[in-house]
Amino acid sequence: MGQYMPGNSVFHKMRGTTKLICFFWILTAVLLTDSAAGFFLLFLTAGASIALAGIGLRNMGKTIARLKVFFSVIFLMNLFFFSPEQAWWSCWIFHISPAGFEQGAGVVMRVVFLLVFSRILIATTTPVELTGALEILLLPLGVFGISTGELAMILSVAVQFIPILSKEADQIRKAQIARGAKFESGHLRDRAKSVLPVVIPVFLAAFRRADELALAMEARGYRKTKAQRKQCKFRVHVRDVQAVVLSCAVCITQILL
Amino acid sequence: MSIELNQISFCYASHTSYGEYALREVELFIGDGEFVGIMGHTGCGKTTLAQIVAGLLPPFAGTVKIDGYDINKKGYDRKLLRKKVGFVFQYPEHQLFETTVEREVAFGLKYGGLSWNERMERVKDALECMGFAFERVRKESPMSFSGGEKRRIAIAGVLVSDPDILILDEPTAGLDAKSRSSLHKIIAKLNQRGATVLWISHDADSLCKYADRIIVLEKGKIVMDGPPREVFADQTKTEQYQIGTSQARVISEMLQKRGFKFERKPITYQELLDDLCNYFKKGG
Repeated sequence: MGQYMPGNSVFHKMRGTTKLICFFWILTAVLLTDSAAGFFLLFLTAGASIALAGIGLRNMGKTIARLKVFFSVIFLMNLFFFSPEQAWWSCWIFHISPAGFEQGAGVVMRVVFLLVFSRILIATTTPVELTGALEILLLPLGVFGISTGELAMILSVAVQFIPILSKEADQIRKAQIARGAKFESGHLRDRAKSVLPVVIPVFLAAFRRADELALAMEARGYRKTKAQRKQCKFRVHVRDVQAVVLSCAVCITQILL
Repeated sequence: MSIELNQISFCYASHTSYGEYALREVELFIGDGEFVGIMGHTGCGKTTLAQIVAGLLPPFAGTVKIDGYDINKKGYDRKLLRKKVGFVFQYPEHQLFETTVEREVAFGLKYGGLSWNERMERVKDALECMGFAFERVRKESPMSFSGGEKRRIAIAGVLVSDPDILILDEPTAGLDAKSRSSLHKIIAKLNQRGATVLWISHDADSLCKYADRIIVLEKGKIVMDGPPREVFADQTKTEQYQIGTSQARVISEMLQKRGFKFERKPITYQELLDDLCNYFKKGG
């Protein structure tokens, strides 16, 4: 985790719930995109969102570059194996066809856009706000007898554990390096061997932490309760409405295109 | 083995706009065999400094030289560094992972190229140094011990590689009085054998007793550096930097207010006792 970037942009000020709803609209739009015009629209939306969120292109570029191997593999698989019809070039089981090229490029672009939009969401929303938003959006499930309060509690506890455990893992990793574990070695075999001395203590730490938390919650009188609604006063701002309408518009345009 | 820090700066989250400096242009030289206490309130950069010295964090700017070699230079043998520098973290018992105590302690020797017998000899020494009967505990699971014992096993796992520089990051937090004082004695003994010790602690009493030198950090800078007596003599500063002072010093201060006269400012109980004896011998 640790992906949240403090800031003061419109996106930061927006409610988590709004952002989540917008995110689902955009997600649908990305999945439905199938034409050059559609991708251009997404490109404009992404560009505007990045600029508004004040994340910075370099940061975004880094996020995408981290998955370059994944992207290349998807693209090449599609390029070589899609269809043998109208192939530009064929050899044994490999066929390079225009359809394959299109398919590969389309899939890669869709994943890149998904990555960009989810990065914007996570970078501008604190984990706590995100789980709070999920809790609100899950409320209707209460009709089916699912206790959303507990679900949200589980989610928020899980989310709050991530930074704690990653810090713990970092400490333990350093401690084992100081004792001579070979993380820094270039050999994959050495590195693989060094995994156990970190994984076991982190696992133990997770159990210990969970135990402690359960005790602490009980000591403070936590009971199975109905969904506690933290944000009862849900005031809707103009920007929330604007955001939902805009993202919905993007999605509808995408369907029409 | 000497430690030399030149213009060390370190910044957390440096690639973002909200990065914060943990260390600012720190200059420090620690000579071979010194026992140095590092003090300062939480968040002043103690742990960062210690991890940079141990080569666990690369500095943002500046150089770290250990025994005269720049440890962050390309081509420096990190394996050598790991052998020379032992690091005890705040909760060392959390790093235990092996199935038996002897394997746990021997982990640090795994790549040292020693024979089985040599390794076991070292493990035995380390465990006995930490107050365990080697034959009795060697086949036990390290997880089956109590908190304090686990910590001693973990520390044995660091001492086993016989480090020339030993860095301890508040290893006594949460230990009972007896284990604490025995750990102090063990470290003092290692120091007498020639190891350079860097001890991060809030415990002014034991630092006064064992350290040759105390360094106080504040907002990533070294603000005090000197023998314990000098550091604790300046009461305004010790209060400003929230490092506390030794009990003996507090008592002597109270006695002075009641008219006792000391020739020096006693900082340990032993010194206080000596001074009081002198005072009464002279006939007050």
